[in-house]
Amino acid sequence: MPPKRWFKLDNAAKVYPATYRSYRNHIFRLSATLSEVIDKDVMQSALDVAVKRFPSIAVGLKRGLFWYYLESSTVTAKVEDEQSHPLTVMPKEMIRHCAFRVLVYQKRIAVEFFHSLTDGTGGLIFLKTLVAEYLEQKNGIYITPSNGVLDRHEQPKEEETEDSFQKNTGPVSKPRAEKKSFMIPGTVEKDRYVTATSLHYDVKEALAAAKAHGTTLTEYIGSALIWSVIKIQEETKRRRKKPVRIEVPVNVRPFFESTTLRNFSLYVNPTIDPNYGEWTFDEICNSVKHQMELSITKKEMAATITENIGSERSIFVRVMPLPFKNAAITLIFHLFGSNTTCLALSNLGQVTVPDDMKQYVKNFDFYLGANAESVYNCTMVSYDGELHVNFSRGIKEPKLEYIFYCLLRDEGLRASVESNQR
Amino acid sequence: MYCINCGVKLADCETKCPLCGTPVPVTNKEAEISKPFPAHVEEPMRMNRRGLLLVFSILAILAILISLFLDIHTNHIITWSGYVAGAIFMTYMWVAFPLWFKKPNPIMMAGIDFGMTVPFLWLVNAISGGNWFWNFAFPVSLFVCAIGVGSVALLYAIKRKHLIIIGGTWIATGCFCIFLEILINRAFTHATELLWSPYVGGIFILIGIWLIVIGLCRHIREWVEKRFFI
Repeated sequence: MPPKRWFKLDNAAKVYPATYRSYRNHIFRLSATLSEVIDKDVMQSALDVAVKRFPSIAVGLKRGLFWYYLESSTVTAKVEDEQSHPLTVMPKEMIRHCAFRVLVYQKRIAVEFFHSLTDGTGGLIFLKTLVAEYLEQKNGIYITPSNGVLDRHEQPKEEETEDSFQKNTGPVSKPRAEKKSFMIPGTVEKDRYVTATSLHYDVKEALAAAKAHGTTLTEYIGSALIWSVIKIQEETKRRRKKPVRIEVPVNVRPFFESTTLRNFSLYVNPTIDPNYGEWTFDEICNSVKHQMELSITKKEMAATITENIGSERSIFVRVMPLPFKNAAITLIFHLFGSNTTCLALSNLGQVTVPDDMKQYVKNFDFYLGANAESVYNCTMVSYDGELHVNFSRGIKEPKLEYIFYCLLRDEGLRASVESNQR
Repeated sequence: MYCINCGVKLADCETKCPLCGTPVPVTNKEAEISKPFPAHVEEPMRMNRRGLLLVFSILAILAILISLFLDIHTNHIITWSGYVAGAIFMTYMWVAFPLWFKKPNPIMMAGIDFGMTVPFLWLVNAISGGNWFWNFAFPVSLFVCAIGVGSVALLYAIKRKHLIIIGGTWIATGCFCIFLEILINRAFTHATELLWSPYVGGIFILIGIWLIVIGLCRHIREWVEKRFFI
């Protein structure tokens, strides 16, 4: 038996185990819908092959005396049946042994990852490679390793498992102090049911609408979300309004030429303060565009990384036993980390697959978790000319997606919708 | 198929608009298979509760018998094993007994739990030759029993306003602290002044009032519920 590999958690991954609760599970989900119903046995066989190529993903989360760490899974990941809603609670016992799960339902294959393993980019490479292996085994075809599909038969590369945060610090750190944001109110789903609502747009139409406001697609959708949240805040009749801030994860691999399959994303937080006066949608687009462009530069990102990893390099923090660290991280998370953004908007971008795979893959989807504290999250993913804007919701009322849809409808964008509403 | 209110194109499986909630006039019954998620949720594996209870019961009986045997074997009468047997029996009745029922009646269980406590205290008093049962333990037990069973009964009977009932329980417990100190003074110390109970009782009463305020004010309740949601 080969020796078990283990990895220290990267900087972004450290907060998740400490603040993990059954009502706050840091899981995200990627799925691909194929043209035919999935054969579960073949998928299991494909999974057994694919996981060997991803040593930093086929792992369980273990406790050390001072830090958590990841160690090669002792159990083989099993392909399971889908549940009635995405992102159901991942029990701690399961995370200890294998911190991701593979779910099949009809023509769809979904992978749900505990966020300490990887981010959306790494997860998508895993999913595409798994689908490629499945298609090879099922249809006896050869799929050229390209467009984010890795060769399952080659050895994993060292740079794919590196902690890129440690390698890419800047000379100085950038202090961060976020004020509290307006949080979307609503009736929390007590059984932790996550309602997934997917709005489908034509990519060309959406890009044209974004271009008309001089923004990228992410900035455009982000602005539409902020505008919608401002409308929700207006309904609450609060005299003193709170700023509306969203969290936009940025894949920083291109800035630092990293090919890691572990977490390597940072966040920018575009903010609009309704107390400044009434904002038009165009003004919001303009402000969000400039805020994001100012933040997304290599130097800004390096300074943010330096700030983030500063605390974990402190000798005082390093020698602190894990239970105390967990308590401290939880406290800091509650004092400074929670309620600073009202939702996250994560854009996976334009997904491409090798030409040999195109006819077998119908679409890709991406969902972030939602819970009682972070009641809404939103993702975007484009594939084959279609843009999916996905909302995951931990409350009963679908108010955000309705206002959002109406705004884009008035902008001239046609949409179709699919959900798992009860 | 389009929503007649907001105009969004709906997936075939939708019976109402996911955005505005407008019902779809004619739904496609064949569309069940094309739902984005299955309708069922698989139940997680459950432990065999009855089997565990049986093992726990046998262990409890064994522990009682062994302690009684050892005590009688060495002392020829029941001395310390009376406490052990009573304590194990009490623990069993408090923890394991309700689990035998599928839906235990909480009022009945609370009554049994508190009802068990009184004979146990009497037993301890009798074995130790004490003189504290009738003038102290009995009235205290009765008062605790009244607060406990009363609260459980109210919580069970009234399905709303639980925070107000719990707040009332805290206030009653605060008052009980004063009663408790009076009883201690009468039974043991013969002091006439109240030393600690006004402070402890005051804290209980303040917490009770705070819970009632939360129960009455929807905004504070929602905030608390969101923060402490388990």
